[in-house]
Amino acid sequence: MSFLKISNVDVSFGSDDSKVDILSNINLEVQQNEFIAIIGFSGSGKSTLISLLAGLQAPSCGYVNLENKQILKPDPSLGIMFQNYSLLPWLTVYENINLAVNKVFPNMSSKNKDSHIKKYIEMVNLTPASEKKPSELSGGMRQRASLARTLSMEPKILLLDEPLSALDALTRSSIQDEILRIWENEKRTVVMITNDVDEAVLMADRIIPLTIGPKATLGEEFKIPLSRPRNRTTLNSSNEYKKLKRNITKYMLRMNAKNSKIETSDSAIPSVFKIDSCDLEREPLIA
Amino acid sequence: MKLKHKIYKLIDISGLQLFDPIARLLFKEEPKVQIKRITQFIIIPAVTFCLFLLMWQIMAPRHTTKSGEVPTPIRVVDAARGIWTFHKREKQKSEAFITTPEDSKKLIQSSKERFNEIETKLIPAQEELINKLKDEESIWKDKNINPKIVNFSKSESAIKEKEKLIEKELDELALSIGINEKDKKDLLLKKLKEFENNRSLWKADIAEGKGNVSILESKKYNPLEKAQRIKDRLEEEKQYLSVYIGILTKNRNSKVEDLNNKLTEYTTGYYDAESTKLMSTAKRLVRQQSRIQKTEESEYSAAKTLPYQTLRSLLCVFTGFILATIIAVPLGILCGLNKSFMCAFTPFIAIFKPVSPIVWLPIGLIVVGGFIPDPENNAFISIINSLPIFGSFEVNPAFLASAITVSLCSLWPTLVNTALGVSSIDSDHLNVARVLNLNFKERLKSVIIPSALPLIFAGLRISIGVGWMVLIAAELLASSEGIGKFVWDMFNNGSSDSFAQMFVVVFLVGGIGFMLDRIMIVLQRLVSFDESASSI
Amino acid sequence: MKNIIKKRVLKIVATIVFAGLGAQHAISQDLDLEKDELKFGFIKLTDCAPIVIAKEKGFFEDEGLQVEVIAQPNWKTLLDNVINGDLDGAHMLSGQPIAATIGFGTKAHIITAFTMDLNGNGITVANSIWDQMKENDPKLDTSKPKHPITADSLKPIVQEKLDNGEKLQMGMVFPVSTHNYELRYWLASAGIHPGMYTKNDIGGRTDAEVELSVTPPPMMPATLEAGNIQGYCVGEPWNQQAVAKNIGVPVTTNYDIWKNNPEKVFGVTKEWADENPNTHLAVIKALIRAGQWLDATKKKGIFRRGLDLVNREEAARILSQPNYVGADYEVIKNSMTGFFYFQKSDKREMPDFNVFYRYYCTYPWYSDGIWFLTQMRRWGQITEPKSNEWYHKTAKEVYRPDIYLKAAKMLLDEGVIDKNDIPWDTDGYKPPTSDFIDGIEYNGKKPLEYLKGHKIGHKN
Repeated sequence: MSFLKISNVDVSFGSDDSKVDILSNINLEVQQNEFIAIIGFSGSGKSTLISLLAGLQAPSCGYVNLENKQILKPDPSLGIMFQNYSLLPWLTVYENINLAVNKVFPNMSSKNKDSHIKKYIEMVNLTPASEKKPSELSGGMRQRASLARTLSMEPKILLLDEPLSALDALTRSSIQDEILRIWENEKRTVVMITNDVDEAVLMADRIIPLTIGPKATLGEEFKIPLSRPRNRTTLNSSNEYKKLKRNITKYMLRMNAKNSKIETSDSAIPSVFKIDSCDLEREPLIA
Repeated sequence: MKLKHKIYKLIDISGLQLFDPIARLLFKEEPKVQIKRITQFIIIPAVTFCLFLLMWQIMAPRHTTKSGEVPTPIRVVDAARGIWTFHKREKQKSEAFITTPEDSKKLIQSSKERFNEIETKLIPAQEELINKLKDEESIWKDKNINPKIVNFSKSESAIKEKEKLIEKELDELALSIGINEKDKKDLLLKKLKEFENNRSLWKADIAEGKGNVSILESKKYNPLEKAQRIKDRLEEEKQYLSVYIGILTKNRNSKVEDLNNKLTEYTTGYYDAESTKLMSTAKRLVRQQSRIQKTEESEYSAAKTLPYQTLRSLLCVFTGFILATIIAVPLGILCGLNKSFMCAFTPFIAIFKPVSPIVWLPIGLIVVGGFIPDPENNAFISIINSLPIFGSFEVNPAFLASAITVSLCSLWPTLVNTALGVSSIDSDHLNVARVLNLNFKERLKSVIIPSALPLIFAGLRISIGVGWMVLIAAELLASSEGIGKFVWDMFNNGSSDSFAQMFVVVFLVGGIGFMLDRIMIVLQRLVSFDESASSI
Repeated sequence: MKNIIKKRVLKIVATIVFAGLGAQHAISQDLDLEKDELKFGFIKLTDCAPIVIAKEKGFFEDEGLQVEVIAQPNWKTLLDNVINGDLDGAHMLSGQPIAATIGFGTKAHIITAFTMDLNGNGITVANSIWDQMKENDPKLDTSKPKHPITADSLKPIVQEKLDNGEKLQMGMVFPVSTHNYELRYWLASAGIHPGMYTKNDIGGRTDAEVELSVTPPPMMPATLEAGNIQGYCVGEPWNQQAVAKNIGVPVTTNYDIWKNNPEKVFGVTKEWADENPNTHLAVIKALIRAGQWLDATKKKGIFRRGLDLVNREEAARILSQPNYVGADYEVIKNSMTGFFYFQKSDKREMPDFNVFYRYYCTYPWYSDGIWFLTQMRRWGQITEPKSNEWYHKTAKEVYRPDIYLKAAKMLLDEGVIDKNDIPWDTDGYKPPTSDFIDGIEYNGKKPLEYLKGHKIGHKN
């Protein structure tokens, strides 16, 4: 029984003439505690896919099931971590996490809550900064805080939407290691969107490319049989690692070239839509 | 955190940037840079202000109107001192009313001494000085003013003579013309027209000359004027002292004493009375006792002075401001959350925002007057006056009308800014709310309001600025006891101090407005979570 | 021996001194006051003096009253504040209690038991107008022209303006003020029509040859200077201000228009008077004493010149305080001490410019009220003709000599005033008088006949 199942999902906007198909015929099965990476070029609809999984958006047809139950609306059990951290800037790190914990575990005693929050702050190595506001933290620290918040909700599935693309390369490496370390300790199902092949190969069990939109779909999947726990330094010299990287990169570039050929033929350049979150809303702001 | 950083943070929050370089200098941080900054932040503004004062001091006496000269800064300071003296005197009168007999004696003694000093020494000395200066004045006038006036009179009479001569000429010319001499008749007409034109020109010249003469005549010899002012102040002090001594002599304690003496008389009278007189003596006795009680609690009814009026103005502006905030913030949140509400309210905002306070005030007065026709016995006013701060300032319908006017004018910036703040919440923050599945109330409390606070406070800051400006006008028109009433009363006095007093009020109102703005800046900074600097 | 005599002399002196003090500060015992903290309003004119003096010289306190004297911004607000109870009483124009009681303007039953002063107003014209008047009437062109100056020399100016399609503009302080009626009387006596009030025209400009508009007294010199009005009728210190600042020339005072005319009264609502009869009596007592103090002369009963009024300089000093009239002492002093500057070169003695007590000034005469009623009818503020009885009845509703006499009697018993100061036996009507600028006789008992006697205005 798959833990997470996406079945025949299309996502499109508009109707009739102005209909735009962003995703088409998406099928994916994820087992529990698997680490999946989805690679795609910018504008291919990666964020839409994650929004689907987080319950922020509904498919035009098909369904998304978690543990055999359809995902209809957002829920703390769908732990999404945004590209832009989305920390509330007027609250400290501790308070940000507290907000999430209060919502998910309303009946927890305050002492337990406190230790719970502190545990996750410790997990991301952010304890000295727990009383600081986001404006006082570096990008890497903010992302770690965001991760801590998401983890503190103890979600069933962790959805990472290009979490590290806003960081510089060195910070990226250190947080990648951190995420791996945490995942080793507290195994969870993870679906991560990224555009970095190296990152995907380092971290994932399976890599599934997303073809270029419109009508993006999931391409051929690559299994990553590298042993865990993965060590960056040793992997860098591993031949299998290099081979996988090469293959996947070649696949992606070929996909891109094919697409540009198709592009130069007839169809229009795929436009990137700024999806207004209001349009995606399921609920109005005023209940 | 080290002390140093704590102090820096404090200075930053309080918005008193100009102390920053001083603090840093004290902590020996980059002295050269700090000195440059001190020069920029402190010395340059101070020097500019001093230059401004200097220019003012020099330029003012050159602008004379019939209503007097533009007051110099020194004159303004003098007027301010006069206002303060008046306030002190009223306060002393109130205190004198309730002094104990021993203190009264001492004060009466010292006041009488001062009174005698003024009457026998100071005023006569000043009068001597004035007489001397009067002589100087006539010399000065003879040198500077009278020649010009005489010149003018001469030219005026010269013109009049010329007019008479020309008229005579024309008359003679007219008489000399025969009936059929058409050319000559035309010539006469032409000359007459010319003469009329000239006459009106000369009339204008004379009028202008007269204007100049009256300005010259109203020019005052400054030393004399100063000496007369000093004498005036002495006379005023003398008058005040006589009133002060009178109050000390006949103050509450002495009145109560007298009443008590009468009371003993009445008491013996009562106990000595026979049955027929019993009721009347009893009534008399009881009445006397209540009279004593009332007198023991009585206070001197001093005039309201500027410090009291300033405080009352502040109370009024805060009342109006809080009222405005209570209306504007919820309404703004509503408008920000729901586009339909915003559309519904937009015409109201557009029409009512530009309405001037001078139009709202009569409406306010009528509405308040309609609801509170009998302020003495009105429940609402009594309730307000029983509250701690309001009670000591005697809230009345005029106060309420002014406060309402302030609210009506100052609620718009807050309303608009709140709506803007609420409607333009960062989508990232909203995502958090969605992901955490916050319900409406939680979302409002945890995400929407905190996110909108900086803009709300920006609106509040503008609102209080507007409110303070509006208040003075409203008070002036409603005649509610406050700075506005002070301005109108002093203006109506038409005294030689009035002009200078207006300038005192300019600086007072400006200073208080500056303080209020500063307070709002501090509050705004406290709720800001982004690094954007609020303005200076 | 010497010591004993010394002691005895000292004792006698002490007794005299203390008796003097005691008499000065007699606390009146007999009135059971309903209210002892009062607020009175006034407008910044020198004839608010009785109220101010009663406060500053302690006459109110002697009666057990603590009174706050608060400046009002204009006559309308003053009246409104008295009506709504914010003020207990106020310095009012003689016409205000009457107008309010009959319903012209805000309606309320206002009564008065004290006339504050006689005379005290002047009519000032702009310098340019004065120059033209001098041209029209060369007799005026001296440094001390003959008084009274009628509006005859103004007539050609009015006509010239009318020919140009404009109207001469003059200011007065309030539609029911004495100034309005005096200005109109002065203009009408020279045949100039000052405008009628009608049902549709509350501004009183119908058929006007000269337009009269309301201006607050302190704004008058400024408005005159700006040229918005060419003349005004107002109380002091605003006429002397015009002279001091070279803005205008007072051409006449209301003393010349109607000798010893009633000017201001002390007004309270009837409600207040009914609820606080004893307080009212205490107030009137204090005011009468203030009037007496203001008109005190060096030698009792002997009065010849302005300089004989001994307390007027002190009064001027008190009034020049910023919370009272506030004008400069030098400006107030003139009219208060019986001098009036018609021009800088023309200073005349006018000892009766302000009368606060003499000539039975403080008694609330019915005939005074009736004069105002006749003028209100004459100019149309009372829109319908009324019967003689109506005039008498209305005057009796507003003027309350009964209260006044009660208060006076108390003062007489306390030995503060003299029997001859008060007209105890009068029926409330002054004897007929022709002391008007046009010589027409006024008999308070025959209002309708008086109306008929005028040329301009309603005659019934």
